[in-house]
Amino acid sequence: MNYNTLEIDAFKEIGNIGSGNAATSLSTLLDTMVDLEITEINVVSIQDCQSMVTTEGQGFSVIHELHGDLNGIFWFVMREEDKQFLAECIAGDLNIATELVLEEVTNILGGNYLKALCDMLSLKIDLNPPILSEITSYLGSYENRINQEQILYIKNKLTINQQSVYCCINLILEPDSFQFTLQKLGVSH
Amino acid sequence: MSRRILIVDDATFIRSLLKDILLKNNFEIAGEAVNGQEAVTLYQQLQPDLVTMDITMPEKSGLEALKEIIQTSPNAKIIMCSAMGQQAMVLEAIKSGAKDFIVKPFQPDRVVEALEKVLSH
Ligand SMILES: [Mg+2]
Repeated sequence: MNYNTLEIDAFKEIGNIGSGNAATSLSTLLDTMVDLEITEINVVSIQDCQSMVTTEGQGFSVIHELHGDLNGIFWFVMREEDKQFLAECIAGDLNIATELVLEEVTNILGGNYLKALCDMLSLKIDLNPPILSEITSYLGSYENRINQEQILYIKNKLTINQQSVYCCINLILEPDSFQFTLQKLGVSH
Repeated sequence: MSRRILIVDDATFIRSLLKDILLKNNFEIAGEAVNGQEAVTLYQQLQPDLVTMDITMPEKSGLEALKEIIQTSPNAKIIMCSAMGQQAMVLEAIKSGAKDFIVKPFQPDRVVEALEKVLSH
């Protein structure tokens, strides 16, 4: 299926609003500036999506499935070598394993991302508990489960305090969900 | 006034953070639960004065746990503490008997203020 400029813009707006709120929450957690790059939008097969996430997919990722008015996956990914730095910035002197801190960071980023969408579009979405998994292989099993030709892949990159440390937050929506979103935004044809 | 708090959250990080905030502000920790099911069980066992309840948890969600606890203990004081601050979610929690809703990430002051307020009623 092809989408016109107006619809692609609407998808971008979802990414902008969601990631903007997620970035604000990360900024609060870190008490520092978090910059947001422009939203990347792709309507692709899961296989193509898998090849798109490969570079970062080799990093550290935390995954949440979402269910309710919208169905899909939210995930966070960052380079292995940066994860300890980020966790320490957030947990301070609380002595907690890096992975456990980042699981909750993803929960907070995902929760705030979805809160923005839900409040804007009057939706209700549940977030499943975090899963620690490599994203490409997770997408493989997800593909088998949902059996859909195309998904909407929305990606945002967050850079922390103008340093070289960054993370990506990603949202996949299933076809029914992105159609529904377009309807709610009043731009579906 | 007794200030025994049951902390419910699947994330170790948040439980430690909350414990730290509560202990620094003269609250007592009644116990900790890591999912909704444990929350329901521990609530009956410990009869805490107040519960901080996460929503996104394995086994049983915080909303389900809230409803179950309120059903058997209608006067339970439960404050939701979640990143899922969607209006619909907040509304459902309050309708189901939650006394307040704190959205993560939270500031320590906001947590203390909410707990003090609910405990004093
Ligand atoms: Mg949680």
